[in-house]
Amino acid sequence: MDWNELIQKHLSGLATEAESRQLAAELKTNDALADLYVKHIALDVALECKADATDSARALITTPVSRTQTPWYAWRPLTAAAAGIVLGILCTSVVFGYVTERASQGLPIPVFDPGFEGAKPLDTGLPHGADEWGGRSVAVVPAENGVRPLNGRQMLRLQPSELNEKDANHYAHAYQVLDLRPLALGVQSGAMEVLVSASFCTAPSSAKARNCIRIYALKEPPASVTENFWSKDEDAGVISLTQRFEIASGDDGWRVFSAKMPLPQGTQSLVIIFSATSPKLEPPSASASYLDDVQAILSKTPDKLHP
Amino acid sequence: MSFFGKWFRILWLCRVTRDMPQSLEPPYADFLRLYAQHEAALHVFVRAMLSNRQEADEVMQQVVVVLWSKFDQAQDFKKWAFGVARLEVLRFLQARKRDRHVFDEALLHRLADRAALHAPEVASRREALDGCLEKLPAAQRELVLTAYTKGTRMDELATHRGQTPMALYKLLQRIRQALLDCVERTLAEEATA
Repeated sequence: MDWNELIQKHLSGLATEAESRQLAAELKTNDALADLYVKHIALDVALECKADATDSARALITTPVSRTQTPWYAWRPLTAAAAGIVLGILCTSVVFGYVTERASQGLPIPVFDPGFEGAKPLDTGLPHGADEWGGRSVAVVPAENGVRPLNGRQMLRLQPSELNEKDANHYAHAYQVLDLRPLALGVQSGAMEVLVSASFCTAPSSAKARNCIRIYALKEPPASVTENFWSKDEDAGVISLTQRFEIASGDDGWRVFSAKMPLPQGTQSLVIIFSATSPKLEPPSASASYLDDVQAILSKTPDKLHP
Repeated sequence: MSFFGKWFRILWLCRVTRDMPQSLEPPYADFLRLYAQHEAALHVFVRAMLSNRQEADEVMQQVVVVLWSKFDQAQDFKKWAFGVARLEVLRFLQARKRDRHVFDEALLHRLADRAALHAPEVASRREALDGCLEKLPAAQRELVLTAYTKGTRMDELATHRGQTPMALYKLLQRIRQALLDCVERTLAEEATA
């Protein structure tokens, strides 16, 4: 029996149940095999971290360019990337986020027009305060291309396009500022976290969709957070998290994605950004994705465990 | 500067220098130092119990939130962190009502114990892997890193390369085994040097 081969098959999900049973039976009594199993796991984890680090480096290069290039310009993408590093220093695959379930408990943070029912025209670029959506290369649309809104009559189409000639990719972004001040009692303790979730969908004929959710927490009131936004850095009390995900080609139907981030003390505002990215070589019409039903939940961090 | 601001900056610095500055307030600096020291081993520990990458990542998120929010300098961090991770995996499986009739709970505990035993060598394994990846032909290195990038689908990658999924799997299996053998050789050479 080639145990290396069987372990690899099992870890790849290709082993039959009988093979996995055989492996399990041997693992229970054979210390050397159990050690070999752990070594394979360690190799997998290390390769994933290495691969994700390489992928993150690519992502840094393709992060949207800031509007105002200040000496702190470089910190913006670094800060965004650092969110993935925070709790997995050398392994960006471990982030506070990417759960495909809605939060079941917590305090809802009011989101303006969460279903894009047209309560107010979209602002261009970053919004100038709470109570509006801003966007670039986005449009509120009714059902189209075989996609029906998840709720209501409309949804937001993210149609990546060239925002900067030097960018390697096309981008589409939707932005909103959330006001935490009416809910901020718990935030003062520093023991709160926010979960931002939304439903995404692609047209049945679309190419693979690459989307992300970004959360920025700021200690400024909503009216001023977007002023010189891209030049602010963590010295100004800004922290951020980026969660990227993909929807496979032909994977139609609405899917919920989310990102979770702890909030520092004194957070007054959040800027949430929903983006779509596509390679420049890809036809724009092939890369549209749709967004609906945006939610944000404030909750306490988990209680202590006593192992 | 906020706690988080410092945290992000320090972690970025650590990423570049692999060195921990000493200027943070003690609780946070201690947490960062300890977490950085044990993160990789903790990840392997969780994966030993939950071989599915996405599930393990989900549990790691929860583990790390608990560690971050309940950090106590007075306790043995490694023992506590591994205990939290073990409980979170079991809690996750219980919540999913997972029928683990192949790898039962006793086996999961056994694998977790073996992973904890090997925790001290995880960092040196990663360093050895870096060298082994460099020794691979560039095309193979690119392939294996692409295959391990989150979101990569093997069937799409195989199609892109003009291979059947099974042919791609076999190729990756050989590369992977070569890497594992290389890591073992490197560690053995270091031990005898």
